[in-house]
Amino acid sequence: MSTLTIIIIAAVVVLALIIMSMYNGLIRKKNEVQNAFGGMDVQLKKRHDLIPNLISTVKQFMTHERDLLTKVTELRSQAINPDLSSDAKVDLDNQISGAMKGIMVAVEGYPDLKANTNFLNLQRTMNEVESQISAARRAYNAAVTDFNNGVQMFPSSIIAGMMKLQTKKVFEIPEVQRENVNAKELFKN
Amino acid sequence: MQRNFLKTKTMNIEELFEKSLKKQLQHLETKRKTIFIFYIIAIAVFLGGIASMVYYFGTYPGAEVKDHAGKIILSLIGPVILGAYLINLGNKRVPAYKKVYKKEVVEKIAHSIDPSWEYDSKAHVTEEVYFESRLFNKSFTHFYGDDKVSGRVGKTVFESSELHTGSFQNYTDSDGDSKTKWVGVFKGYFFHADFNKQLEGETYVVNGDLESTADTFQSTSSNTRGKKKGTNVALENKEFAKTFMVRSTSQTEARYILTPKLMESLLDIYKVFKQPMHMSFLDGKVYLAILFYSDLFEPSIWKSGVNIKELNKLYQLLNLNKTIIEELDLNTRIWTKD
Repeated sequence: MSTLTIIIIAAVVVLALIIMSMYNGLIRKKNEVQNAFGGMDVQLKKRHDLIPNLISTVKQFMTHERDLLTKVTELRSQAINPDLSSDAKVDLDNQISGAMKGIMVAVEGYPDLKANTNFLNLQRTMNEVESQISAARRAYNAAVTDFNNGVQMFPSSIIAGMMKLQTKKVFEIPEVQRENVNAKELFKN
Repeated sequence: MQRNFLKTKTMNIEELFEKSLKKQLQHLETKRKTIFIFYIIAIAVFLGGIASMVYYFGTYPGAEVKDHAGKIILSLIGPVILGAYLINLGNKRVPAYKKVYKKEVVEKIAHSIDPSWEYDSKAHVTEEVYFESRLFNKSFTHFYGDDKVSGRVGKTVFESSELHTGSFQNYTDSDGDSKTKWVGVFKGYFFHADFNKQLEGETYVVNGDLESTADTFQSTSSNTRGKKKGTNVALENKEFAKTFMVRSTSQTEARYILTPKLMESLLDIYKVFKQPMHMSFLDGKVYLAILFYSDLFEPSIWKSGVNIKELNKLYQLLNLNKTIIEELDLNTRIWTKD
């Protein structure tokens, strides 16, 4: 076998290994995004499971916020639908987050409720779940950023194009939620 | 924005110095000077012996040195014996001086920060706690420590001390001779406290040289020996990511612990001493080890103890217990852990 043939074969093998490495890397990043979303989904489900208990505890005290409580209950019913797309889940989660913040703001006006043992325990659990959701969102965003870098940066972008991979959206806090919660606006609904 | 810890503490220590430390320090200064004088005279005597040796060898040409051998030997042995005796006298006084210094100064500073804290100059964080932190996995044969401070800041129980771990290792030098050297694992300040969140995994945050970083990240579990613990965690705070390496068994839990606020706080703590720091968050606790190359809480024989700058360093070190708990907001118990 001539030297040139050997060099060509070696170059082809090296190229094949590089392509395989990039392919595997993209698959790994894609799986990490799905895994991170799954982790976030688990925390969102925990929050959904807490909502009925929270509503039944606060509605005994909060007589003026019926509409808000009804809104949270409705959003929760939509969120537990197993056929929801990822984007729909994220959108509903944002709405529930905003509404939950509204409830916590309203609680400040009910000293008896604030001192209620059941509510205090619920509040701690809600704080825990919210912290976990926040952490899961950040982990998801990190996985998506890593994946998007793989899809967009040369030379793995060539392989990503052949695999028809597209960039994903990071979890953004919508403008509505970024503004300070205005309790009055929430009660208008 | 970094909080200015240094300015606040210098003002507090000046008040403490004027009100209660000045008299004790001036009394201790007499003891220190006595030891200092012994050492200075010993050095002078050694130098005198060397000078006289030089004089004799200079005065008497080669052939006559033998005739004056007795004088030459005496001029060397005498100062050596006298110098060694003076050093011994000084050394005998050092432990008593250090004991009184720690009682009169270090303990007073600790109690000025919080009167309920316990200070024990001879005690230290236990080997069990050191192992539980999983910060340093290299084996060691010697475990020293002192200056334990324990107590509570708000709802958070803590303990800290100076620690020094390592071992004597045999090796063969380039000439084939067998020698022994000290291989240190950790020397510095070791702190641990309850963490205010439930933890299921292990998260490590490290700033240090390659060797000490590798030691912390090395897995010691039998089925993953030789591998690193967890996976790298890439965090959003660029300055934090440049300063610290983070590995965790859970990407989500790492972010649950290292909130944006906590990352800023850890950076602020790092900037106080700018020494390598190793932290672990596991089993419901936070462990922090700051590497220092010099001894902590030890008075110097060579410098005056009546020195605001030195006292301020002591204050900062002792106040670090409170600083860590307050900066990391460990007293905020709004989650499921009480």
